[in-house]
Amino acid sequence: MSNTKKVLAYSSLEMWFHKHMIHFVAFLSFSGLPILSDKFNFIAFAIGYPINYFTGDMNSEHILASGISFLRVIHWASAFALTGIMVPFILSMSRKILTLSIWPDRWGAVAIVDGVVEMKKNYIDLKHAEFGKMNTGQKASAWVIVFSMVIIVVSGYMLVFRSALTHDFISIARGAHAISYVILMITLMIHIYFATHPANKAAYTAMFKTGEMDEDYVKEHHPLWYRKLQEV
Amino acid sequence: MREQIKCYDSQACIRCFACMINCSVENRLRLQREGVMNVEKSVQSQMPHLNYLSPRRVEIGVYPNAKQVTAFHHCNHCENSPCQQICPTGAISTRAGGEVVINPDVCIGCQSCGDACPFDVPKYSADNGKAYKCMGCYDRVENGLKQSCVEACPTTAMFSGYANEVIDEARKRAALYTEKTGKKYVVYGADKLNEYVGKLKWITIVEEDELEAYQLDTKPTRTAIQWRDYAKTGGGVLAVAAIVGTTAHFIYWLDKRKKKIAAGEGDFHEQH
Repeated sequence: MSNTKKVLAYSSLEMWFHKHMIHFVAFLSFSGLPILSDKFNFIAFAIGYPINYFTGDMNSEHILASGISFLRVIHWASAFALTGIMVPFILSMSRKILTLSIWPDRWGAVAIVDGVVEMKKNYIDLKHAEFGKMNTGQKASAWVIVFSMVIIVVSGYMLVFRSALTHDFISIARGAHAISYVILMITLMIHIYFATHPANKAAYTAMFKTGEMDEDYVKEHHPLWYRKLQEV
Repeated sequence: MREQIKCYDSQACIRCFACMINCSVENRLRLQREGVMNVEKSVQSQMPHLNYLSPRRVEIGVYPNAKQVTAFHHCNHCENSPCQQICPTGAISTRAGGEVVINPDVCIGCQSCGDACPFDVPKYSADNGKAYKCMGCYDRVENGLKQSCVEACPTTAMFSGYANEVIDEARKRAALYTEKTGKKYVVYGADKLNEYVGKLKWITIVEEDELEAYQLDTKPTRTAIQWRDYAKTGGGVLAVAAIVGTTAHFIYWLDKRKKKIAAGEGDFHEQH
């Protein structure tokens, strides 16, 4: 008989922050990509065309400029909103910083190799692996996301409040903003793949719907986490 | 139209600043002609939309051998124009004559050009939220006139023309100064400086030992902006690799799962 006992995987604050972060990162990407590269100018044209349709100025250069001006406002507004929702999340997380699952269970090269072997067991061999709440890949991506987000936020504010800084600093900020974004995006693409993968349906449901996982599922798929919960 | 370049000869210059004044006058006339901005009567602020040439005076050497050097700060109209490459709205273009020009109608004042410029040239005007820099008087040149700074120079310290002719003349002058003074003179910007800027279309005849005093960087670059470009290229490659890798993994996973279920091993990922 299956055990229907539930385990709390994500708090309501974590779920709330994660959902809104998705919205704002989507807005930030959508509005920032045409500024980063002309390969995404189609986004600016799509935004600028209806604006210039009403102003009657259908010069393509002016349509692009209108689109990018509008997207810049969206970019800044989303950035301020994202940093706004970060405040309660960071405050809450900092209270339990030492118990977060992003910390390694073991340190050193051997621990990393073991973690990668366990990931192979789960995702390549489709066998049960010795995972904690997060596996080695998730922990690594979490740290990459944290560091790249910090750099993006700091460099972004430097670009907004640029009048207080020299060109050298601003130039570094602009470079760091773009490089961190590229690293973040690649990490997020892989994160989104695994998060929406049918194999991780339980975690997906917990993050977006219930916040909970079945205890039996945790026992089978996250044995290290289960043992920790039992100790507590 | 053939490419034209300008040359500033620091040895022939008498520091009369007529070039700067004529540049400012020309820009005031342009603004009045186009009626795009109230033309200020004072000279209390830098007014980047009116002055594309600005003096930067430094003292070099130690007394009694100290001397003052007045470097002219201006757009060098780079061959690879990093400002043009970073501009998100395409407001910066290179004219047929080689002038790198900001179109103020399209500029949104994001100041990316200033961040990418290794010479710290484009200046943001808070008056109308746009960036300004020397446009090489492309409007005059395309109508058969000389640039306003060149026209004003009484000593031909500023001269312009077709690239090969100007460079030949500059090299001749540099060789003459080297011979007469015993100090090595070079033509800054006539040869490719690096990949970031390439050659310059505003070259300078200057004593080699005074390059730094004239604020002429022999390796002009913005490292962070170069890294940004690498990240853009690398990001595209990595994004494709991520899409291919995840797709391949998903196909593999579906196949493996199907085989496991067929073999009666069950669906191990299923939540109870």
